Amino acid sequence: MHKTTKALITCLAGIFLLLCIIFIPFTFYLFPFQQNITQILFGELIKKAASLLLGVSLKNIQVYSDSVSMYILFFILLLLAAVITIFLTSLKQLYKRNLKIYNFCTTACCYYLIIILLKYGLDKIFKTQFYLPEPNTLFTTVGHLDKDILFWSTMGSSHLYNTITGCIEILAAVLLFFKPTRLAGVLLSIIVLLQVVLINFSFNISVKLFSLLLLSMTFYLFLPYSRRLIAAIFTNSTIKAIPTLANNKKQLFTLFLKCFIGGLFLLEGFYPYLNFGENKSATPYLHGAYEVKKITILNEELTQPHFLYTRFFIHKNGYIIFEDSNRIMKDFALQYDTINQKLFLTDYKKNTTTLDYKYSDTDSTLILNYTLNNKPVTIFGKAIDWRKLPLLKDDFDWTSD
Amino acid sequence: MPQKTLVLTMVFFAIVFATYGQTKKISYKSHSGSAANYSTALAENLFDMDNSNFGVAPTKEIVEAQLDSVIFICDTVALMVTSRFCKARKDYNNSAVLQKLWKAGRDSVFYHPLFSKKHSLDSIKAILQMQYYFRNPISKVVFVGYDNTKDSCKSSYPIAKAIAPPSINRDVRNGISINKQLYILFTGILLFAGLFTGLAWLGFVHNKTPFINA
Repeated sequence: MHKTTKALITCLAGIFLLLCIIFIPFTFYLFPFQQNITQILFGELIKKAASLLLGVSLKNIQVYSDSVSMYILFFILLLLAAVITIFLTSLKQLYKRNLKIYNFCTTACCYYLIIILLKYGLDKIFKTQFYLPEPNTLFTTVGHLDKDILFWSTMGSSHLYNTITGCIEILAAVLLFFKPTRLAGVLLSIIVLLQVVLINFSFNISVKLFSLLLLSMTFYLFLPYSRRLIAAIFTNSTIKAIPTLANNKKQLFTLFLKCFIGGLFLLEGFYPYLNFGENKSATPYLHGAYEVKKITILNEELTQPHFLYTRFFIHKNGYIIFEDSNRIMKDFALQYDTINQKLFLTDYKKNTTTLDYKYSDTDSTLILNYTLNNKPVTIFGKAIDWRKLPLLKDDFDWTSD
Repeated sequence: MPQKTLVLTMVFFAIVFATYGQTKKISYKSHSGSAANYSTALAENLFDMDNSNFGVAPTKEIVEAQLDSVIFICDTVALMVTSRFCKARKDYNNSAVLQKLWKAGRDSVFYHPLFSKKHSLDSIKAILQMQYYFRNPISKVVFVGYDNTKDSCKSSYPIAKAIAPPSINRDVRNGISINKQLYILFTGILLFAGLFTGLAWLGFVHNKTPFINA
């Protein structure tokens, strides 16, 4: 390939990845402003582009994983990268500047990958990514679950798998951080991210675009090593270091900056998990699964086949879910009034219904009272020990017999 | 009693937003949300929809009620001071439902079964500890006008004084604000980086070789 064309493509790819790093609103604790910046700069443009290109009227222009707005943002950023590349080419110094641009983009991609891998790795170790399945998920038959929630729940059932995969991601981040081990870090990142992309596409998990972006970053980092690595494998030669613009006088400053950035990354990754001596939130109030034992309408007891609901569940994120005899679940946002023993249920049309409740610790029964068509209804629920379900057991057998 | 006051004073609870990394779709499916309502929940950012993205743990963690003080005014009225506590810096502002039920601040409690003069201070504390879900230890709540002698529970606290704004601890962890903690950690990182670079420089001066390959 012609040198100028190659320089042009490298520059375009580098600038595009750099723009993605800046404007794709990831969840950072120390820098939670990306969403606002992107929305201010590109919000209206995304809305207009969606209307013009796709004929879609976006109700919510917030950019989130695999949303239409995120695809459009990618397209806008690609165009912007092309414009910047053309501008740089017009300076007629692209070839001279290419190494500088490349080094800058490579460093940005490398550090971005480090922080992302570190965050995902720690989330896995602390089990905040693949969490223990909720009672309502556990009582849904496998056939009624979508692939993504089934995968998420399966992963959540094994702490060992989470810890190991988390450690591998953190190892990749650590290897990437130091120059002598960067190639090993890039190779490990490629393996990790290929697996992630494969999972996201196979199980229809909506982090496809972002995982592809991360994978393309690792390939971008791998490019300069590729020829040397192939040569080293097939010709017994050693892998030489990639030429950098390192300046001995600046080495101490670089070291300081590196230590500082490393510290910030650790703070970003660990801060949500630092306890500072306070109690972590315990299990939310009433959280769990309840089997309906009795239902009365106007003080008249219903027989089992005529039960309105067979089970109900209290979700840790503040939801109550009712399951009927056809295994259909209906969810409501839930809030408590523990003094007056009331539950406030809000549906997706924002209508709120108030229920009286009574919970007995001694026999773990939860009684719900409400009015249906002017008739008082009482549901008697008995807590199910859902933590003893087979999926949540930490069984391990060396032998099968 | 005004409805607002009734609603505000009767709801003493901890609002816990569990912090789990997941995509919006998985988050929605985790509470068995039906496909029919998904686009509505997404477009209107309903309930906890805003808490999930990219399958990574969100920054918004837990919003809890903190009971700062209870001030006895008379047999039927007590003044409660609560504050909103966030473990994450970003506040959870867009939940209309949440705002409707409870707001941090000061509010009068009328005919409250626990804060009327019927109970001794120790039993009030015991019940608060067991049945109420405030984030802070009950030992740190300031009770004014309550003690363990039933008869002596009287309004020794002038109403004018009760109206003066009490100090409300917002975004506090063990007495240190979250922002202050971040500054401390930030300074620590700067010091560490400086110290490490200093050692590297000393190593360079002594051995004429860099301390570490940056």
